[in-house]
Amino acid sequence: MKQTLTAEAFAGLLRNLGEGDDAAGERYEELRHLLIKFFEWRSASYPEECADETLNRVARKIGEGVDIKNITAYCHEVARFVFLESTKDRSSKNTQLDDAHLATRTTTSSEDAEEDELRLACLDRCLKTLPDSNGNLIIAYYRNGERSQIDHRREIAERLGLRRDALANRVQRIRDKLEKCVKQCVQQ
Amino acid sequence: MLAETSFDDINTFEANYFSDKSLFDRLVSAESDLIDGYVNGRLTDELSERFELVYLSHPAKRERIAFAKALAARTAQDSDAATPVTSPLSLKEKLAALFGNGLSLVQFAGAFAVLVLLGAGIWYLNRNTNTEQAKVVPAPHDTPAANQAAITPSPSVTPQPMGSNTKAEPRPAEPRPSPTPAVSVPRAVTLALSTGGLRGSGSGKIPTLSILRATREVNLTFRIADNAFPDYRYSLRTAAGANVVGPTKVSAARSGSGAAFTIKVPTERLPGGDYILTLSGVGSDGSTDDISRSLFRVKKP
Repeated sequence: MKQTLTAEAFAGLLRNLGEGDDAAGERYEELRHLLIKFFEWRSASYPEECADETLNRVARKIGEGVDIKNITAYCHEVARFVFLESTKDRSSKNTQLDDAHLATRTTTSSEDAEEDELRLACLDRCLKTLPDSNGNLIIAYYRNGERSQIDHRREIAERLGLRRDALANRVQRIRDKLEKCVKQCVQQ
Repeated sequence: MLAETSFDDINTFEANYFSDKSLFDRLVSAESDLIDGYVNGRLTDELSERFELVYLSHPAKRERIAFAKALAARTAQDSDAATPVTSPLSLKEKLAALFGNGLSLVQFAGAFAVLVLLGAGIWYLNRNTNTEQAKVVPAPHDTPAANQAAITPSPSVTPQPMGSNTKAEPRPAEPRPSPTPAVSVPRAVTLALSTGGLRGSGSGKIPTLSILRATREVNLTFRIADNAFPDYRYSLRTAAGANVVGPTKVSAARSGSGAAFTIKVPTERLPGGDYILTLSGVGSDGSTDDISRSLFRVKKP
């Protein structure tokens, strides 16, 4: 399934995404995030790899001179095929990795507790890597019980001069960064 | 809902969030809120069961739950005062609080429910194509509707350069009038055990059963190669030695020269942990011989 991507094809993809390196890079990350979520929500085995494979294929098409007017929609179509191929690959190979996707884990409760502690320590470490304002924001956002949390978030949004959905988006981006950081920390 | 939703509608829904960034952002936030709701015990039982069906079966999704637990623990440390937890909010109330404007609540809830159940349906479809040594299958009379929702690929779609003005128009998801769940959690689940020693399955891994809240009964099935005894008994104890069931007589179903057994155990008698199932043959003189021991593990949310 995987094929290599040339630097030229990748550059072509970035050019298609936007003018200027910064805008294109940001758009690329947004598109990649969208694709990862697509594969996660479809319960694909390796969402990040599938997302990268999708982008590789799209970049290759651009490199071959295909004129893609709506790259997001095109990525969606390619992603659907990548997903179908990934499910066929899994069922035909029947590798040990399939065991990872059984509905169960085989750790003991003490191992789970150790991992929870490690994760908490990693979260503290990762929070420190954030700018203070972001770290404080995310802790404040998720603080409190359910009822008051709704009012609490409304107050935070008003204080920051944001609409509630804009605040939710900002917090989600911080959360995504934290999750990625914690995941890498735990795996070390 | 999956049984009511065509594959084309699922694709349309996905095309919508691909083309509408604000919809995508709200879905991502809603997913995080759903996970947080589960972690903090604020989902209704029905939604918890649906959630577990999708999220406990996938390693990446389990990691998200683990992160959410850590975040909840961390923010609880920072709380100045404990805020009393009121009655659990339904998903409707949570979504109403989060999304005051924009899509109507029913439309959005319908859209996100399709997303969650899509994951469940695709998970079932994928899982059923794998061969596993310890199979966990729903009892025949409780096959989830998701298994029956065949998700077939649309054969006519091929990626084409988007040469014309073909931007997908966002279409609100159809409101779903009935609250009847499309995915039913099995009331009984079956675990097929290998017999012989306590090494578990041939791969060295202990057969493990994750029991959801609504599941009431576990069927333990196993076979022996040689049906040598007139009668059989079984006993079930924890790995630590505490007796759970038996010794109790069990009927053998002939299977070639061997025999097959099915033992039903109420889930309330199986808290999380490791168990040993021992099968003994009973001779005509009443003496017993241990024939096999099977080790398995139970995990509960």
